[in-house]
Amino acid sequence: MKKKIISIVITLVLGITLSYSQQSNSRDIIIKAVKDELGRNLNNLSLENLKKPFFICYNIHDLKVMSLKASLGAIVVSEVKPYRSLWSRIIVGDYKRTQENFFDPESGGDFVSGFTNDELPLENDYDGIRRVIWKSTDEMYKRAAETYEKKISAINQQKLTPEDSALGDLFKAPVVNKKLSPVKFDFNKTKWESAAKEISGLFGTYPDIYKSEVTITFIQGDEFYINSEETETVFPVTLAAVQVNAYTQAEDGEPLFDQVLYYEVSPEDLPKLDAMKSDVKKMAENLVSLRKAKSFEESYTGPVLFEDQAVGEMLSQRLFSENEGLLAIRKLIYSDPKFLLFANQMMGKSLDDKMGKKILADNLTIKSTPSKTEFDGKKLIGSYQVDMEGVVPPNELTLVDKGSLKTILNSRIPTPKLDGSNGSKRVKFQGSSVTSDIGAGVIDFSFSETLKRDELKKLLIEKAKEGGLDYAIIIRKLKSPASSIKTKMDESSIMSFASGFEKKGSVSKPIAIYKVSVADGKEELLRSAEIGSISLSTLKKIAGSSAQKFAYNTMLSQGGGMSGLFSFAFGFAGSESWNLSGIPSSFIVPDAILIDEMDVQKEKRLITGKLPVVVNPVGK
Amino acid sequence: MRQKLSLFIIIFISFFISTAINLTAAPDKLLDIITDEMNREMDVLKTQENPPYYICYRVDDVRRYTVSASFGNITNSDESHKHYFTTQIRVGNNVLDNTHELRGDQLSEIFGMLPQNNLLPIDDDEKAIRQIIWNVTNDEYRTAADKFAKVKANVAVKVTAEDTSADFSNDNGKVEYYEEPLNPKDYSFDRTVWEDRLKRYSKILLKEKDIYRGDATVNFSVERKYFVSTEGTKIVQNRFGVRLFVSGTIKANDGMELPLYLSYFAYKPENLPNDEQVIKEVTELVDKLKKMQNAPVVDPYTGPAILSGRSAGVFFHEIFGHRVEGHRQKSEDEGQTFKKKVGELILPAQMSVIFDPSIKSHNGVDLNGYYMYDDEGMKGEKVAVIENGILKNFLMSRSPIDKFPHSNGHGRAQSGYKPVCRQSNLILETTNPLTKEQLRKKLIDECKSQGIPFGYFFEDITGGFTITGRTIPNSFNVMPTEVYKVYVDGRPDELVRGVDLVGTPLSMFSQIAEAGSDYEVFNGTCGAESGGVPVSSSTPSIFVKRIEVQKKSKSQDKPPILPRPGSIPE
Repeated sequence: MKKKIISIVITLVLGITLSYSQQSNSRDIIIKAVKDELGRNLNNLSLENLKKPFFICYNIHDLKVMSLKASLGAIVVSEVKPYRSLWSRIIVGDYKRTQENFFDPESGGDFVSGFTNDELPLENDYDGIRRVIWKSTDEMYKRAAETYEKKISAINQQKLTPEDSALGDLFKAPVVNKKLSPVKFDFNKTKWESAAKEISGLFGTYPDIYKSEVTITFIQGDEFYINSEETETVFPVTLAAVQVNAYTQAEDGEPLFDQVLYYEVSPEDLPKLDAMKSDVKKMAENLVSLRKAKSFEESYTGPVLFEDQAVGEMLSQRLFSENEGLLAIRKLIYSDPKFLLFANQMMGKSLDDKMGKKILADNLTIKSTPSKTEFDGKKLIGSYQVDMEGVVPPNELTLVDKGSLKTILNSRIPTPKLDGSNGSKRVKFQGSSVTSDIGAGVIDFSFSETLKRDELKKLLIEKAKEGGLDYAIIIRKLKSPASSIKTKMDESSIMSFASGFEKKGSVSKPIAIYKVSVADGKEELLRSAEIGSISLSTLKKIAGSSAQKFAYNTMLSQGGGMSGLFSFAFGFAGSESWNLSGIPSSFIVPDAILIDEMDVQKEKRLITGKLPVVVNPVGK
Repeated sequence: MRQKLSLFIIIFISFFISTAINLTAAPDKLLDIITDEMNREMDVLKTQENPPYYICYRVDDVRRYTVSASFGNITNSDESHKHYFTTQIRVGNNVLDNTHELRGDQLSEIFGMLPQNNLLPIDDDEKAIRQIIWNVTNDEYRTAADKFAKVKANVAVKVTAEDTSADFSNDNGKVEYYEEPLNPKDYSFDRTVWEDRLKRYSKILLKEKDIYRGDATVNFSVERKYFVSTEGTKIVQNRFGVRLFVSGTIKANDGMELPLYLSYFAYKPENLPNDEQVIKEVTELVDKLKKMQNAPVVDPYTGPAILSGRSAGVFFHEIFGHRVEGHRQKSEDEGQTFKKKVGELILPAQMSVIFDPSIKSHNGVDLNGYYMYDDEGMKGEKVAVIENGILKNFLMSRSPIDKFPHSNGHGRAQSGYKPVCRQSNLILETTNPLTKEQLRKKLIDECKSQGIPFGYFFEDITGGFTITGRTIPNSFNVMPTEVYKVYVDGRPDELVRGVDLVGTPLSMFSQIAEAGSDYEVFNGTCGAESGGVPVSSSTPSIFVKRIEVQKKSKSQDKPPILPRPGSIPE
């Protein structure tokens, strides 16, 4: 018996060592192949009369992805797939002037090439990996060298402002050598298929809900970054997401959505099945009551109290989008003035020119704290130690200090007013691939003066009274744009979103919005209400915030800008895409904030579909 | 005795139980659910102001296994199981309905062709299946009713169409056909075995140092296709297909990309060629790629040529097949090349062109264009489109055209798409087959009579495309991969590169003179407005008196600057 136990222990130990050594062996082979091929290409690639590459870097995304989808207790999709791909960036010129940050309609400048990943062998084969790198580098170098000449020619024909002229094309960055331990977890597909069935099965008793689905996505693997400056980083990428979405229509045809979303670092961080089921039941009940809720027919200007999820969603959507958000946007050089109109539509608006100025409420300080891994016992999915360009972000970076803009999140692409990368090029999931974009990691919002939550509600009512209003507004949940159930009507919204016609500063539609009577504090659930666009000056008028803070994990889709265009393209990718999209981010926010004055109005819908004439088969 | 009795009872009970199971298992649960849901929807929708007069549902239960390798390494190995759901709803009546062309509104037509993208659960869960179907039916009904209103307005303001046929044929739509459910062994596929095979095949491509792309892929799909309609049709049929594809690409010094490939098709993996044969052919492909890299580039040419069976297959598919698809004779945007040629001699009198979806193989080779019923629930019929050189018929779906009011079972579509007329198994027949030598002699004689020093022999072809519309010239382009110059003075044939076979259909067709007896099969997937559908062509070599070749558009990128990493295998 004793022998048996010992042998089991030995097997276990052996097993663990073996799997660890396989893992590290896999990493070693990949790194060696990348470094060897990088060196060979950097030293030898050249074309007559054209510049040699001065900078080469490679990202390797080595992941395993599980995608489950269930509806009403039945599995629709169940897949586990490996994903190993290469993204190469070959730069010609020097730090001052490269082929990047240039838009040319024929070649796409550095845009088109920037969005393709090459498939790598799934096996750890040194030569096999090198061959893919070799081919990709060769193609990218030829494109880069040619684009560089086009860009120089375009610049020679244009009168750049002294500021644009002085702006470099690539920030220098310190050499980093950081290899973080891999993170492993068991996908346990059978267990999660059964969870997906159980959760989705809950909707089987709600004939008033027209459509519902549960998707479960687990991602686990390594992200490699190696560049010609000798930076070498490997960090684990993990994510466990359970997304529950439901859709119905009100009697007047208004489409109504609700969702319960869990984004965690690993499956064991997800709530227990019973807790999820209870949340989903509540959501279903809410959606049913929303159908019967009164339609908001007025136009409201007055105090608005955001609570819970709505605080995180509103602040993240408004302040971390490409439309006047805390993200750097590089102005491009265009080869043809005809494309300026396109550019105006597509490119977001940066806050560069507001650096050092008061942009938000005096008592608000916003910090980026990407190394923070937990808040109040909750693990933060936005936490990271090194970004997708091998830059280590500072542990704490103040973006807004007492309302004044100090800096914005950026990458190694220079913008005026910033003198180096603050390591904010984040991993981003899109369609069924991995890419990167400037985005938030962990963002901490703090207010110097705080109130208790019930005091905030009192203050809300007082302010409404002062304004001569009969009621005030509380918003507790906003639709999360990164996850939603597809309906026929979405085709038009995808179009407007992608074409950049979405109103600047707008946030998504409230799911849980209430009228609060100033007379007795009674709350009434509303529907058909939308929040007017939130300008920065609206956010200057934050009248109060709760002392209690919470961590909100979300997949951030920046909205607007170039990323909108690509979301549009991937929106049509259909059934083959992952259910996840966006940048994993965490926002530590007060559980309630009161905005002194903002607009809430009746939703303007371009099209409202009629109700189905046939009865829902559920509950028929 | 007692013992005997109990044994008898057990036997009897177990017989009874097994019969009962068979009885209950015999009907397909998914078939019952979709039929019942369709009828439920129709019962309510027909009471609406603009009621549908026809609804059909298609469910494609697809299991797909894919393994890919590149230069000896596996790059992908996975399997999937999905249930794709597609519906078509017709509002109005069969003479004029929502599928009618909106003349002058190309954007609507394009949007109308976008595929539906709906998945049903892979478990036969009634509630979940019904709810998804219900949602999709509601959306599609709204779209159909809206489009019908636009159609009525469009008809009212436009001149009378040239072809005034109805929108939907009055065919007997009530068909019942049921194939037995799939057995797990029908879709067993050992990916490990194939991973090993593909690694070995693609590794051979490393033997030539200048090959910069060397891939092998196998794709096995097993489908159980359901079709039900409110006309009472219930069809369940199974479809199998496995395709092995090996390709290599080399670059000539002038930047021209030279791809060669091997493609094998069979219904079942065990019917694919054995290892030995594939390895032999991949090795030959490598040698050929090297030769092609150094082959001379040819100039534009018009003159006689021989197309091998495979090349002739693609040639007929592109220049002829697409132009006899019925719906193209109806649309006011189409070129309608052959519409007015019915009854006329358009090929030499010894030749006939037949489309026959009902045959599974030709000369022992499995055909990819086989099916029992099309995607409109019509039986796939053998259609002699050209008989003894005379154009007799068109490929028809349930969209009638002048003088051709009925479907012949060629309404086809990929999952999610709406069916239109598409090709099936094309067969070129001749009553006067010539031997290879006779064809070659014809070529040389014709060159001499035209005073041309050489003709061309097109050995292989990668595919092609054709433009059948009116707004731009009605032309075709087929892309040969292996082409030889055949000299009249007896010099050996010379491998050349850089040509595309181009032309306009009628002038090219009139030049086809003879056909051989050496049948070859080209199995492929044809892409058009109703998505990718499996097709084949079985054709002998043909001799054409005058073809036209133009220079192939080529990549302007130089060959890779650095040598390919890794060693060259023995």
